[in-house]
Amino acid sequence: MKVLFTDIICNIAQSFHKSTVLNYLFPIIIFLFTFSALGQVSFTKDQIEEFKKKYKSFDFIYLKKDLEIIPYKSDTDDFRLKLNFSEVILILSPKGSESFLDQTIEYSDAIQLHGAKSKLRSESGKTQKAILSSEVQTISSNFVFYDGEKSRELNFEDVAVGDIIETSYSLIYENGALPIRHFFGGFAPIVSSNVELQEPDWVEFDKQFYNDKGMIRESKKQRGNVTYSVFTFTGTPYTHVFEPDAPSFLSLVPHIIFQVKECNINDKQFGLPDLSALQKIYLSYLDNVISDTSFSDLRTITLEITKELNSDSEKVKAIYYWVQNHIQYVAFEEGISGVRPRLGKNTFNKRYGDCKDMAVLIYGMAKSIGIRIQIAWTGTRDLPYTYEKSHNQFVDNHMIATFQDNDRKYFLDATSDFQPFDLPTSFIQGKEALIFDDKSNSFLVEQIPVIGSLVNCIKDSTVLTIADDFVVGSKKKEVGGYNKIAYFHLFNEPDLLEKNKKKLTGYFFNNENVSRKVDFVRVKVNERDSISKVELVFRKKLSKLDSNTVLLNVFTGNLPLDQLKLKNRKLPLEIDYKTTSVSLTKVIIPSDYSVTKLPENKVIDKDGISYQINYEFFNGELKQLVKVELTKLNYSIEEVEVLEKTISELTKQLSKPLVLIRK
Amino acid sequence: MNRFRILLTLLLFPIFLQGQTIYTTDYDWSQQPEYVDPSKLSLTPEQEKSNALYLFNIDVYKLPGLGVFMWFHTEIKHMKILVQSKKGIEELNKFYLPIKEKNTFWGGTYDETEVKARIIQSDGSCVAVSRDSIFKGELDGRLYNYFAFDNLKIGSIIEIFIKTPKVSDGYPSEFLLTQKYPTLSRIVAYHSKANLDPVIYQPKGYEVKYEEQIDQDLNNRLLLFKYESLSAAKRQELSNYANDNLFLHIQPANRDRLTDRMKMLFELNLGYSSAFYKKREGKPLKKSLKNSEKFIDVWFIKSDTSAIVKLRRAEFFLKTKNETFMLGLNNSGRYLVNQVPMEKFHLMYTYSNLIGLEPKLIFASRGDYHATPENFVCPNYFDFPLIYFPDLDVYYSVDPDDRIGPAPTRFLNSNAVYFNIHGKPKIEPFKIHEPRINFSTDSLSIQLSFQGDEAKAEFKEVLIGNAALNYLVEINGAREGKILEERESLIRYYFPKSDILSTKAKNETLDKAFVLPLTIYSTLKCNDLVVDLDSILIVELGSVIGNQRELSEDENSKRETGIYLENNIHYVRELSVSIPTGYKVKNVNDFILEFAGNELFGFKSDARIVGNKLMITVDEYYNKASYLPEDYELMKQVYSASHKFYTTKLFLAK
Repeated sequence: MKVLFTDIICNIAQSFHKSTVLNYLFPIIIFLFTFSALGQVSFTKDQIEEFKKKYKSFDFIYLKKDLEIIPYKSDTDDFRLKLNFSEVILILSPKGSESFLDQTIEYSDAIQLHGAKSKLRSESGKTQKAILSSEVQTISSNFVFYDGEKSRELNFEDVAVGDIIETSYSLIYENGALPIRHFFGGFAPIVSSNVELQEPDWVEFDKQFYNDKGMIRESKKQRGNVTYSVFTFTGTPYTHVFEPDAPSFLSLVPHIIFQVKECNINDKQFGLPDLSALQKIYLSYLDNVISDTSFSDLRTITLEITKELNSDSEKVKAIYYWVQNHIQYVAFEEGISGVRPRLGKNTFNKRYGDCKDMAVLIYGMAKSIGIRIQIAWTGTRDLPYTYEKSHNQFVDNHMIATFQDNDRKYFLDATSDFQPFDLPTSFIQGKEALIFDDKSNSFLVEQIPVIGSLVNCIKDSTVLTIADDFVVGSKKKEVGGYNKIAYFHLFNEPDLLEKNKKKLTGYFFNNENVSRKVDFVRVKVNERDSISKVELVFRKKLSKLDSNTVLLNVFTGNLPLDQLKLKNRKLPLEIDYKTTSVSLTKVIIPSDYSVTKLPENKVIDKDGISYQINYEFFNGELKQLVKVELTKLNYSIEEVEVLEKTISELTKQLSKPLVLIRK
Repeated sequence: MNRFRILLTLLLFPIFLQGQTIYTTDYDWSQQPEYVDPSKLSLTPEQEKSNALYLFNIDVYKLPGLGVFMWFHTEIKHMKILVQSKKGIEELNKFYLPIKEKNTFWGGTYDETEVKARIIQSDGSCVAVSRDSIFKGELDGRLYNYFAFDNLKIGSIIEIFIKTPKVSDGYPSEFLLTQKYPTLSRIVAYHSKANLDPVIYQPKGYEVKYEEQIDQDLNNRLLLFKYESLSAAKRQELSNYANDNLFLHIQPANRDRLTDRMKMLFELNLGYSSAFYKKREGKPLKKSLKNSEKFIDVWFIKSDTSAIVKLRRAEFFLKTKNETFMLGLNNSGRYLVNQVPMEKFHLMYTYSNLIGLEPKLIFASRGDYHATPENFVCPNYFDFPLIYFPDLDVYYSVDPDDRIGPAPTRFLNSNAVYFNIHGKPKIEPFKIHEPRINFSTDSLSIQLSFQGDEAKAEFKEVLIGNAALNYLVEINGAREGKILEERESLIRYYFPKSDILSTKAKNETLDKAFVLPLTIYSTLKCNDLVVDLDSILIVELGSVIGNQRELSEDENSKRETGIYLENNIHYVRELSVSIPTGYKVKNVNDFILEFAGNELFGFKSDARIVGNKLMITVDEYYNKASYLPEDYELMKQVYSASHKFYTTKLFLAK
């Protein structure tokens, strides 16, 4: 088992979804979870017994998890960082003991491993030293290639419940100016976690606190020309759990980013004092793109794609869709390839690339026909950072292109296969984009909009008629915005509709398990610029209380949040996009039946959710309007409770059938 | 070597010499002309219309001899593909060529020493593809060489050449004869030592006469196969035999030799483990296996000595291990884990031997080839390994997700072979039969009472045999919180949106599987089960038996294959509903569903009012795990009945 990191890696890997810029730092991040400490740890037997009781539902806990950051100058006057990690683990279950048989430490060509050791003390006082395995080159899969990633294992012959394991190792960063993160939390409980930063007088660090709620205490000591700062989390360290549709680990865990602000070694400057320093680095990654003249080779194809189009925005749209259609997304994480985009021509010829390659290709194609496009860095929503506070490489993980058309800015992310021109991808909504304009040679930070719920509207119009023992429905569904993208993926495969008809009906009805015969009449989902439309007819057996009483469920649509886990949430809720659902149902009441009582109209408006149910009866027709709107992307646990209650009331309300009595 | 062959050899020797110069391991792409003028090709309309065309596709295979344990050989792959349309350009811009995976059961290594590619344009210019446009990657679990071809045009020819020295074992060589695009010339040149006496299997209906050439010293043999293009119609016809893919198989050993090799493999692994195990008893290596032992010992101590418990223990042991776990020596001579990759299946076999289960190794046929035990020569005709535990009468296998568990029932009644390693090793025919241990019962009892539109449910489920197994395996070794989660998720199958107020369980440990019934209890509050319309209560009563499969329309077509369930099972459900004061049940009869089925499978539900309670019993059973295609029509009625019950609502009115 990658004992120290496995769970966390998953989370981080997720947070680096479609990432490029930061991916070469991935190995670095992993290590920072694992540290520990500044001295020997000792707990009394009673304390240990108490921990066992308190954390009995866990496989293991960290009694201590510490990090020591020591900057130093190399013989060649380079700036290096030594990170000393130490941790103490208490094993609480057989699964936990199995996990710690092999502890994997990952590092890379640029980060060297030193002094890895681990020892174990059993309850009976017996000790055992782990054997350090030889170095293994790590290979990643799924067309993702990391360069120079390595690992070694610390192997125990036996680990038992109650054992205490002390592990320590050091990592030497050849580039000392890289930011370092320390997390006061993880996927197993942590009893105590400290980080000590040593600042000699020739270096100054910027410390950025996240999710700490003011509970990180700093104590300082001066020894000679070195300031020793110890950061301790005074609250209960955070333990992360997996829960669907939750904010990322990074958005929840209290943590500090240590970033070298100023460092001067023999007139050599290291560090990132402000955003312009980061911009300088980013610009160096783009130098080949800016000075590239081969973009003119893209002119022929671009002219062909854009012939017959007049406005710049139409042309950019055509380029954007062409890239989505023709360039396969392949993530490159290999060394400098993780941060430096390939030339547009290169990507065009090879027909594959990652986000930055696609952004540069869009830029190059537009440039070849004289249209200005900007290249921009951004972070996906799982990164909680802003450029103002964290002007370092942790702040973003993604690249896009932007296009300014009069007053409107378009954020073009071709990594999504079916992304309409006017929508940013959902996973960067609300994030900042660091936009570089090559004409003015300047950077600009701009916020990517959060798309309103009405854009992502699902409209369901249904007509219900009663014929003999059946109710027959004719349903039209119109879908916009991000919901449309989901429909595209569902229906785009030509055979999918037939093969998965049963499964797909779940997208049209509130209870897919109720027997009904469904025929799709028309499906039009494959155009990015228009609303997707699906038409279908269905029939199902009429529910009768007796020969004179019919029970008719009027609402046949589905509600947003149907698939989300809302009950007993341990974490807040984060949804992909805001959404509105409007369902209008018309029931033709047979002339020999009367409606006993119309259900109540209702309007509820709460923070983050609102709904409206309206009934009208006129001239033998009953009309039901149901409108539900989700107006937030993030809901706290308390808000989820309100959400759950509201949705549950609404469901209950809508599940009440109409009672029709034969006249 | 018979006289005819010698004669043939002498006659063909001049041809062989020529053949050798072309298709030997010295073969390089320079031996084929660079450019082929498409206009000079005589193509069928189908070949012309195709987006691309394999001008040729050549495999050269050289097996210098068999080692005791592994075979060292060289493989060369050479192909030229002509781009014929815009779509062809799109498709070939990113070209994936599967790398033969190491055979999952036997292992082996594959490192290409030479991979190169180039593009030959119609003007005769030739551009080599740079190394940074050739990747190795994994997609959907398979390894690929990934080629990115720049500047393709209609009329461009892409050329790929791969030379690979390989080490593999046990398996015959396999050459794919069908490709995505029409293939003008498919050549397989197979070199081996003459005394290896290769056995050849060509696809039915696509057999070619091959040239067999033996050199003057009677040392080396070349088998040269030249296949011509296959039309789509012919492919369709042949797909009846072997799905969509047709292979040529060449097995360089006779049956005895193969048997010997298999024996060797097993004895080597088993012997190694056994010796190790014995040595451990003698203390010197005790530390090395301590952790694994501990897991085993836990089960020894806790359980009786029945075979079932041993199997559970072996299974448990495997589940706690990484798939690559095996004991191995590191440089310092200490035993370590994670040193030798080894398949779980193999481990299962080895360890169950160690703990005295005396497993039998069975190879079942997936059915792609019409193989019978009589014509059994290569293991990949019977390529699905199963382990049969005679004491338990149960089959185990590893599924594609690497999960160990009872073997899929689709193998029931199929032909298989049994590799008998006891006594004189031999391969014997084996008929896979339905195991008797499969008996399972899932018994559900639910009591419902109402207060307005709120229902309270008392839930009890008793699971016996396989019905409990998956659950118990899932929670095995898990911490308390996880067990509770799993228990709740089991209850949520019946009550997806209700509040679970309390739960408890009896015999909720893996060692009780097949010994004592697992019983789960719960009390629930259900807000979504009842709709209150003042004088009418509508209860989604049928839904409490859990989601039942609804047949889709395409399932109404005639069934051609047998029906295989995970195991045989009997569902017994008892629902008791307290009728609220003042209400009457309006539709008792809706819950009385007529019997559908026969003595092997069936569904029946009954309902009656006893005092102020509605009592419903549902009986559904599948007494076997496998059924014939003709059983399907009746079985559909059973499925429909259970689904109908599931969707039935109870109406209570004042």
